[in-house]
Amino acid sequence: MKRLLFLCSFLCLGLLRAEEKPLVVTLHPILAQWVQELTGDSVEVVNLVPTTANIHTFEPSPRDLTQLQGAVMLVAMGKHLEPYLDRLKENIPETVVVVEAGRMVPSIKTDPELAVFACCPQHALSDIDPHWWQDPMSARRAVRQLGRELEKVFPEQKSEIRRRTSAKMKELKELDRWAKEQLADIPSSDRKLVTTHNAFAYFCSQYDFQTIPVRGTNNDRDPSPEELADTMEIIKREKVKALFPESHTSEDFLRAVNEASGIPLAGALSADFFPDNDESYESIFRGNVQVIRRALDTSQ
Amino acid sequence: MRGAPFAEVGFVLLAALLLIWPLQRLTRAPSAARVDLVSSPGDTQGLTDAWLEITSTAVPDSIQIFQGDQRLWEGGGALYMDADLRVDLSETRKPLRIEFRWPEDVEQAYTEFILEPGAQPAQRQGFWSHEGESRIWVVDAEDLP
Repeated sequence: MKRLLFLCSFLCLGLLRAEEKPLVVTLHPILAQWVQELTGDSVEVVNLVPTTANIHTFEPSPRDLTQLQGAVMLVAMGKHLEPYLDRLKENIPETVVVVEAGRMVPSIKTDPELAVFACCPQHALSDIDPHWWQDPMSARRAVRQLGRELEKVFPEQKSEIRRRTSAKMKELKELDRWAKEQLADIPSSDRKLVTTHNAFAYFCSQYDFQTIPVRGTNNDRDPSPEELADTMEIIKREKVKALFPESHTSEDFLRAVNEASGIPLAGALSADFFPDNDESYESIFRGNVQVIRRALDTSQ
Repeated sequence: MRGAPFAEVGFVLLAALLLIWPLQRLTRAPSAARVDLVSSPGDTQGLTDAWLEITSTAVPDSIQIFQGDQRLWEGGGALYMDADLRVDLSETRKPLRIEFRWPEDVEQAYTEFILEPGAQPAQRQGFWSHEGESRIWVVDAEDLP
């Protein structure tokens, strides 16, 4: 009898382990939020890139690689945002499905003349701007792509994932409509986004703004005095109304431009969408739109 | 000693429960963790995965979309519909032909299509149509970076 009980208990313990939720690993906190929203509580989501990390310089640690061994899916932003992704793929089991959420988003090419204002050396070399999440309609496309890939990996949850994906896409479309309403009163002559990081091309394309980056955080090469002089000339010529620093980035340089030009500093924008506390994709995007509206909408 | 037979019965019941539960788990469909699928979105053999949104001013009986002889999609019965399809965007691609069937009481209706093919920019096209009419939509394809 005791042996029978021991056998049953052993079997149960083994199966309790098998009952563990399948693991999906993400490379951005926003992706983790989306995967969780699309799958509910049926999967465990682990995000490897902490909110305190620099998305452009992050490299996965050996501990991260260990964690990936047990994953069923790895979700990256794509568009070369993660320069280490190819190396990562080589070091994880072939059974791990790798999804680049931004893959189906139409790419915006980086202006080679603005390479010095790119966020980091890797992205200064790439000809595609990776910051597709700045536009909710691009995010909507990425969410659809993510949902379809999740359906393939979890076919028993297909209808539920499809339903959640459609709901999320509807939310993102509504967010785009809201942003258009919020920005409607900004005259086209004032639709100029002066930032420290060449990361707002998707936003500017969707909402008809001109992007004017004044300095990147390219550690390899700071802008030369001539380039800075050119930039000062551009922002004066374009009669820009405000300078937009970025959260999690030093605003020293913009402050210097502000002192030299007299153009006011606006609130900080989030470029990489790393959430503070309980922030969601939607709340970060709404925060950005409100900062821009407060600075540029003179009808208020 | 009087309690011993009850203890025996208890042990047997407990053992049976412990045995049934894991057997149930074992006979269920395999968990998602064991599913091994390869992700392959995008272009294959000249066909591109696309997503189509259709919004009409009246509820159609049916809308059929063809490319050449190939029927890509058919649907109806709602003001808003969406669909996953595969479109030929190769250089030799044929235009899309859309056939509309409207209820008798709908004299004319407007239908807007938004097509998102692969990583191509979205394409928007609207058509007015009567019952039984078809419309041609020439789909663009850009060189992607």
